[in-house]
Amino acid sequence: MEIEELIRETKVYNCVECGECTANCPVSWFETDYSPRAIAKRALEGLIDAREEKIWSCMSCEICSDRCPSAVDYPKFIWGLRAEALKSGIEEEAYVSELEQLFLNGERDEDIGIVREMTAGKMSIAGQDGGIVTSLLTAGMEKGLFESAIVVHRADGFKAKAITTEDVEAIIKAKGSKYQFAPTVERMVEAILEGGKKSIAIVALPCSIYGIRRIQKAYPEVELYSIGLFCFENFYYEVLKPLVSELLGVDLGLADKIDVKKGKFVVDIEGESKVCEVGEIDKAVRASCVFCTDFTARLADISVGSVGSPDGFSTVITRSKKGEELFGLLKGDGLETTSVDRDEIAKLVSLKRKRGVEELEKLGGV
Amino acid sequence: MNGNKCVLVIGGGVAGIQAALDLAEQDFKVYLVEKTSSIGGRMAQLDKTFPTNDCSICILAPKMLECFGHENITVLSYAEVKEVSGEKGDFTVKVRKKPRYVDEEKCTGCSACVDACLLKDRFLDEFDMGLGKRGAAYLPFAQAVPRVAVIDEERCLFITKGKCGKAPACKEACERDAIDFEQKEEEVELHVGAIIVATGLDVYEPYEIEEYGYGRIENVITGLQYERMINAGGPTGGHLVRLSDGKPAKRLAFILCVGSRDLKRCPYCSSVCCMYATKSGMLAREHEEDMESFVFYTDIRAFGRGFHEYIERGMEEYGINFVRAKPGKITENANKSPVIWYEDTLTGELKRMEVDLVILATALMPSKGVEELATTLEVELDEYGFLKVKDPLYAPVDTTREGIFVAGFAQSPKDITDSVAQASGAAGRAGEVISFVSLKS
Repeated sequence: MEIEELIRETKVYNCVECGECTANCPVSWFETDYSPRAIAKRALEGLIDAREEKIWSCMSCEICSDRCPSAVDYPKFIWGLRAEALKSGIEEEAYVSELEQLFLNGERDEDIGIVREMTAGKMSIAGQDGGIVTSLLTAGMEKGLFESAIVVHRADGFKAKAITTEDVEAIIKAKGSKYQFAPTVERMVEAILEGGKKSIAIVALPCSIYGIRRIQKAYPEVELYSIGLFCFENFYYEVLKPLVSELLGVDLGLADKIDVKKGKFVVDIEGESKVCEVGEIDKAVRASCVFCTDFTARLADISVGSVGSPDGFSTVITRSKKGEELFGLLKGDGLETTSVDRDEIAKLVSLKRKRGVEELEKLGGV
Repeated sequence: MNGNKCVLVIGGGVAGIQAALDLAEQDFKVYLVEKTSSIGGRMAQLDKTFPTNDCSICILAPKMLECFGHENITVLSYAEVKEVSGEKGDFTVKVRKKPRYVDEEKCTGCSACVDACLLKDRFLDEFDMGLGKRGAAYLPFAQAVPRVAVIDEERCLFITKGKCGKAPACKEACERDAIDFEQKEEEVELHVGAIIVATGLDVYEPYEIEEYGYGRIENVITGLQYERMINAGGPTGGHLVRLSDGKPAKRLAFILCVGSRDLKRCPYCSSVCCMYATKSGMLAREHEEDMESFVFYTDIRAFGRGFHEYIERGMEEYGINFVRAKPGKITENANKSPVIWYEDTLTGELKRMEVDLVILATALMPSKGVEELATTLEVELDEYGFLKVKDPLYAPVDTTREGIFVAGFAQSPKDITDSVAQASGAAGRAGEVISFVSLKS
C-alpha cells in the first residue's frame, strides 16, 4: 500500500494533533523520541520515511486509537509503515533479538526462542490449567521478590480489567484467561511513574511483553518480573459478547471460564460447556493480532500456556535468570511436572508466524 | 382567546423567555411550557456570563419575572407537550401538567415545607448538578419562577409509602394549606397559530470516558458543576473546594473538548467551552489572588467579536495558562489529587501535572427528550439530535414543519447572545404567521 493510501485508509487525515495518543502511549513515556502524533504529523507533511521512523517502538496495545477523538487507526497505520519498512529490507526480527540479548539467556530453540527450562507444571490451586501463573505471583509476592503485581480481573461480566495490587487475594481473583487485551502495561507505567514502585511483577500477552522490554531498556531502574502468556489471538469483548450470545445462546458475562483449545472456542457456563469453531468468532479478533508473530511470549522472563501440556497442566518456559528464580519458588512447594510436547508448540508458533507474515505482506501490497 | 393569535413556546430558558417576551410585547398571546418546575433554564445555573462577566441570574431573574407576570404570557411550568395536531395557523396542542402537590395559587415560596420535610437534604440536587442536596419537598432554586415548592413524587414518603410520620410534616408546616396530596396530572388543551421550540441543552456526562475518571475521581467535575460551585448561592457558598476533603482548591485544570469534537461521541464543537473555561479561570483569580488555572486545549475557537481579545485578557491580566494538549488520562494520587498525563504538543514533551480540581468541559447536547418531542411535533432532527432548519441560510429559524420555529441550543450549539438573537428571530417569524392568519380571518 502506498503511504498516501495508508494515510487515507487509517484516517490519519482526521488528526487534529491533540496529543491524546502520545500522552496515552505507555512506551512514549520512556522512549521520549517515540510519538504516534509526531509520526502522523510527519506523514501529513509528506516527510515520512518508514525506514527512519521509530515504528518498532509500538507494541500494538491500541490504547492510542481507542482514545483518539479523531478515530485515527494508529495500529494499522503503524503496521502499514512496518510493512513498508520490511519491503525495503528492514528486519522485524532484529528488534526482537536485540531485546532477547539484553534480557534473556539460555539455549535458543528456533521456534520457541530462548529457553532455560521447559516443562509441564501443575499446582494444587485452581487456575486456567495448572494454576501456574497465580502460584508464581503469590509465591513471589509472599517472598518479597516484588512489591506490586499487575494482573487482569474480570469486570462487568467477563470484560478484562488490568489492575495493580499488593494483595494476594486480588492475585488469586485474577485467575483464568480472559482472551482479551487489557492495558497491563499502562498500569505498570502508572505504578512506576505515579506509584513510585521499584519492583513489579506483570502478567502480559506477548505484544505487551515486547512493550515492557522496550520500556525496561529505556528505564532499567525498575525491577520487573514478566510473565508472558501464550497467545494466538485475542478478542474485542464488545464484539465477542454479542457474537457468543448469537452463536452459543449464552451470556458471556455470566461464563465461569472461557478457553480456546484445538481450534475450538469453549465457554463453560452453569455446569455446561458450549463450543463453537474459533473460525466462527473471527470477526471479534483484535485487529493487531493478525500481524503478530509471537505465540510464546518470546521476551518474557517466564512464559506460560496450555499448548504442549496434558490437561490440567501448563507449559512453563523459563527464559532468564529472573524467570528461573521465580519458577524456583514453586519447586518443592507442590509443583507436579511432566514432559512437554515441543512439536505441538512449534506447530502453533509457525501457524501464527505464517499468518502474521502473510497479513503484513497483504497490508504492504506485496 | 383567539387561538390563531397565540403562540406556544416550548422551553423556558433564556431563548424561550426572550421569544415569549418579544411576542407578548407585540400584543400576541403566548403560552410558555416548561418541563421543569421553574423557568430560567441553563442560564439560571451559570455564575457569570462571557464576554462581559456579568452576573448571570442578575440579568435573567428580572426577565423571568417579567415573563411570568406579563399579561400576555401564560407560563405552564412542570408541564410537557404531549400531542399536536392541526397545521400552521391552527394547531391544537395537548399539554400534560405534572402534579407538584403544592397549590400554585396558595404557595408563597416561604420554604416552610422544605425545612420541615423529613427527607430534607437527602437527595442530590439537580439544579446544583448533584453537588448540593435537597429533600422530597424543595424549591428548585432561590430565584425560581414561579417560586412554588414541589414535592418529588418518586421520593416523598407520603406519596410512595402512604405514610410520613403521624402526618406529613410539610403539610403541618404550611401556613397557607398549600400542600395538596390529592393533586392529579392535568391535561390542558391549547389552540395556537405557531410554535417555537427552545428546549436547550443537556450536559454530556463523561462516565464512559473512563480515562478521565469522572465519577471515580472525586476531584474531577464538569463545567456546569464548576458554575454551581463558584456561585455564591451554590452548594459551597461560592468557594472552590476539593470535593475529596473540602479543602480550598488552588490549582485548577480545565480540559476542553471532552466528548465533543470526538468522532466517536459528539463530533460537533460545543461552541462555548473555550470562552467559559477562560471566564472560569478569570473568576477563580477574582475570588483568590493565588489561584492558578490551566486550560488544556486542542484549538482555541474564540470566534465571536471580542472573543479572542477576551482569551488574551485571560492570559495577560488573569495569568491563565493555556496548554496545547488533549490530556491522555487523569489518575488520582495518594492525596486524592488528580494528576493529568499529557503531551505538550508545542514541545512534544510528556508531562504530568498535579492539580486540586479538574473541570471537564464536556460536550453539550440537545436536551433529553427532544426526540420524543420531535416525533410529537413531526419535525426533523439532524444526526446529533438538533432540530433541522428548513435552510441554514435563508430560513435559519424555520423547522422542517410549517408554523414551527426553533431557537437557541435546540437548533445548534450557541452562546447566550446568539440564543437570544435567534429567539427574537423565531418570535418574528412566528408573529408573521399569526398576523397573516388573523388578517385573513
